[in-house]
Amino acid sequence: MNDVLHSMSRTAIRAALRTALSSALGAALIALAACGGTASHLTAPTNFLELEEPGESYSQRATSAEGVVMAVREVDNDPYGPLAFWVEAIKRRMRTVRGYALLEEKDVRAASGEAGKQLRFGHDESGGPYHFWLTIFVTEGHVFVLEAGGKKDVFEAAQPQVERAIAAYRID
Amino acid sequence: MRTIGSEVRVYAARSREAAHHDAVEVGSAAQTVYDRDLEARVTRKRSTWWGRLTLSVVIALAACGGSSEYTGSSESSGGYAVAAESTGGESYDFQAAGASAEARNAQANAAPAPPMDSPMSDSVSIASDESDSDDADSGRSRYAQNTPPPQAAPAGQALGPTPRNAADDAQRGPLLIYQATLHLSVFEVEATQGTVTEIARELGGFLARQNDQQVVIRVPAGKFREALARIEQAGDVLHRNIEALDVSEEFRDVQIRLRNAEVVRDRLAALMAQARTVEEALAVQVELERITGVIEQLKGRMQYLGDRIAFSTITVFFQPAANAGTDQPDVFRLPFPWLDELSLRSLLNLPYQD
Repeated sequence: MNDVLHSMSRTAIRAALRTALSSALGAALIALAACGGTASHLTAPTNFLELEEPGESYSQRATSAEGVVMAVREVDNDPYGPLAFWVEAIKRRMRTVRGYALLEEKDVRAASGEAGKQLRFGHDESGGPYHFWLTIFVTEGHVFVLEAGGKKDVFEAAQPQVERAIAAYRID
Repeated sequence: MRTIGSEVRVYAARSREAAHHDAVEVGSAAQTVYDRDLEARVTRKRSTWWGRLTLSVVIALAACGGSSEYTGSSESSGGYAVAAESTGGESYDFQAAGASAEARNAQANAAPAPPMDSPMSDSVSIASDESDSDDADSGRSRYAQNTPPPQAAPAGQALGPTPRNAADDAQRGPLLIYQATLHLSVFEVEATQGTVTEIARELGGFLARQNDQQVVIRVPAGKFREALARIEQAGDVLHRNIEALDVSEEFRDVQIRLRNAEVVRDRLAALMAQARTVEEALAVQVELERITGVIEQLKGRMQYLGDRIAFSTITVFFQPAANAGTDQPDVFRLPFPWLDELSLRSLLNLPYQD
C-alpha cells in the first residue's frame, strides 16, 4: 500500500515538474519572441567595436575605426518564406530599385550549420565605390540578415576579418 | 492643297500687277542682275512669253507628275503636292544635344541597317555596291575621305554609303534604326562610362553625349549587337530595352519628294532663262527659292535618317529604370518594410551612443 502511495506521489511530482518546466520554456520563448529575438550571435572581429545601442532595426552592430560596419538584422519569418524567396526578394529590391550591382552570389553556411546565401553588392555613394554584403539565413521563425559594408578600399582591407566573422556566426 | 500649277497662276497674277507699277519700281528692279539682262526685253513679246510659260509648266507637270516614281502615301497623293506639303507639315526631330554633330556626321552617308540576325552581311553588301568590293571597310574609307569625321571619333571611322544608294536599297529591304537603352547598376560609374566609350571607339563609333548618370554612344549598325554584348560585360545590367524602328517608308517618301523637287527646280531654272521681263524673272525666282528651301530640308531629313540608320544609338543609364523615368519601371514592392530599409546608408549611419 505504501509502495503504491509512494509510487503515485513520485508520478505526481514528475508531472508537476514537467508542467512547470514546459511553462517556463514557453514563457522564455514568448519573451524571446516579444523582444524581437536575440536568437543569433555575431562575434565581431577583434578590431571592431560592438555598439551597445545598435539601432532600431538591428540586434547587433559593430564598426571598425576605418568605417567598415557589420550588423545583424533579425526579422520574423511570418508568413513563412523559404531562403530562396527572401534571397530573390532582396536581390530584386537592391538591384532594380536601388541600383546596386550584384557582384557575386555565394552559398554559405553558419557555424551553427544553417545554409545561407551571400549577396555581394557594389554601389557608388557620394561619388565613391562601396561594398555591401548581405548574408541571409532563414529558420522557421526568423530571417537573419548579416550586413557588412564600407568604402571599397577599407572594406577590401578588412574583408578577411569580415569573412571569418560571418563564418563564425551562430543561430541558437 | 497647293500645286505648282496653282502657284504659277499666282506668279501670273503677281506679274500682271507688276506690269502696272510705275517706272521707279521697274528702274529699281532693273538694278538687279536679272533685271540688267531682261530690261531691254520688257516691251517685247509679253503675250508670247505667257504662252510659253503656261506651256512649259504644263509640260513640266506632265513630265514630273507622270514619270514620278512616287506612288502615293498616306500623307499625300501627288508628287508636287508632296513637295509643297513637306515645307509646312514636316517636323525634323533632331535631338538638341549633339544633333549638329550627328548631322555633320551624316553628311550624305547612310546605310540601310541590317536585320538583327545578319547585321554584317547586309552592311558589306551595301558597301560593295559602292566600292565594287566585298570589303565593307574599303567602301567606307572612300566615303570617309569626303566626309568630316564626327566629333570624338577616330580617324577613318566606318561610314556608310550615300543617301541615294541607301535609298536604292530601301527598295530591296527594310531600313531600320536600331536603338537600345541599358540601365546599369550604380557602381564605379566613372570607370564603366570610360569602358562604354572605349567600346564605341573600338567598334568604329563615337561618344554622342555623357553626364554623371548616362552615356550615349553611336556605333555602326553592323556592330550593334557586339556593342551591346560588350557593354553588358562592363556592369550589372538591371534593365534592357532594344528597338528597331522601320523607316523604309519615310525614307522612300523623302527620296521621291526630293527627286520631284529637283525636277521642279530644274524646270524653274529653265523658265528663268526664258524670262523676258523683270516681273517674270522675279516671279520665277521666288518659286525657285522656295523649292530650293524644300530641297535643302528634304536633303537634311535624308541625311538625318541615313545617319540614324548607319549608326545605332545606345544609351546607358547608370541608375535603375525605376528612377530613370524613361522606361517601364519595375516598381513592384513586397509588403515587407524591412526590405526597403536595406541599404548602405542605413548600415553606415551609426546611432549616437549614450
